[in-house]
Amino acid sequence: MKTMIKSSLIWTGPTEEMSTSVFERFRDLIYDNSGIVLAENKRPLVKARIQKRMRALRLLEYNEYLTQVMSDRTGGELQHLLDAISTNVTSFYRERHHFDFMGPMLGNWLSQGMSRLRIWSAACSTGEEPYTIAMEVLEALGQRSVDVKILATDLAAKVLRECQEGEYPSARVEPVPSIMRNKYLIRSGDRHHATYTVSKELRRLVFVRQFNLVKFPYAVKGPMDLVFCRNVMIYFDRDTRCEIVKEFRRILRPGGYLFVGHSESLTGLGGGFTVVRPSIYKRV
Amino acid sequence: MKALIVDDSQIMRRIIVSVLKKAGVNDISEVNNGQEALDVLKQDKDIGLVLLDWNMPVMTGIETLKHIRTTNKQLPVVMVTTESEKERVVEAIKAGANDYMLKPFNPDDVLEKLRKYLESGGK
Repeated sequence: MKTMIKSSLIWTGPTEEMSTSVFERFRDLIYDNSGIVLAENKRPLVKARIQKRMRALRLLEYNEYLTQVMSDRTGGELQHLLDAISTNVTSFYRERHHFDFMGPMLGNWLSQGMSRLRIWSAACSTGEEPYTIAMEVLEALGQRSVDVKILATDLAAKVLRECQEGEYPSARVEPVPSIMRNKYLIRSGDRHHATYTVSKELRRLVFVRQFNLVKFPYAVKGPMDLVFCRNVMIYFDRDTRCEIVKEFRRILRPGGYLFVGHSESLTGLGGGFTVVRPSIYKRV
Repeated sequence: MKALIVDDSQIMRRIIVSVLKKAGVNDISEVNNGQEALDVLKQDKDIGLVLLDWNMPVMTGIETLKHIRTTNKQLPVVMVTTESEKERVVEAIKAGANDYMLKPFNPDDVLEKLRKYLESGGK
């Protein structure tokens, strides 16, 4: 069986369809390692994402790629697979109403003498979320001196590198109000190819780590004041969501807040939170 | 090889215990703070590795480390901290820490890090 053609310049795509058994093995592997649930109707998406990786490796059979993932004891290829499968849609000021809520609330806490602030962006993707939080925190702080740390984590190693770099083409920073852009992002390049890099001030607050939200319990002691876990739980089954919410409850201090995506809810995922607004929950 | 975990969080202790067990270390003592750690270390001379949290009540990790080093320069001590600032890591290394682990960590990465101390039998 000759399936690897490293010398060939043109990769022509997989030679066969992805069989049900191979899809199921990929599906189980992805679930076990990321908690992401992939129903049968996601087979085309799984195929398309895996093909990108197969192209890079010049492989022609799904089965062979599966073998490669399973036999790589370093876990490196598994990480590539998870990077390829996970969805990383994000943007600056995504679901702006969360930040509209957070700003005045931080102002309140600070006026009550808060001296330490811990925030977790639990699925930070390429960094737009933690850097948006950082900008809003700095705005709320003004001249006050407060010990602030924003933990930014994600499962996908590839997006974390981008998060760490903190460089964005101009189209990606469009949602950032110009006053904030001028203050916290450094522009380089020309008018047609401008790049924005996060300032040292923002970078100083954001602490980037790789982290798997479905490996329990979390190696996080807390207490955290705010946790952002938006548009992530939709990929998990109910039991996994319950475990995640339980861990967030443990880590958040009473009175701290959990922000989830607009289409997500904590209903039926265990107690310990009260709804403040849709998708914003207060830890009891 | 015997290990001592010093952490005021029961969950964190549980996670570190599971990592150590994976590495084949079954003889593990756990305490809540630095003062208790010093008491245990006085009594138990078999401990060959200390996993020391930074932020704890009663006595912080760095204070505990400094106390340990006044009497024992050899004992491997690994600091467990959430702090990413280099100054704190540098401070810990200057105070005699052998290594550090940044939270949140992936248990498998930590296992890799601890192996060298376990393989050397804590020397």
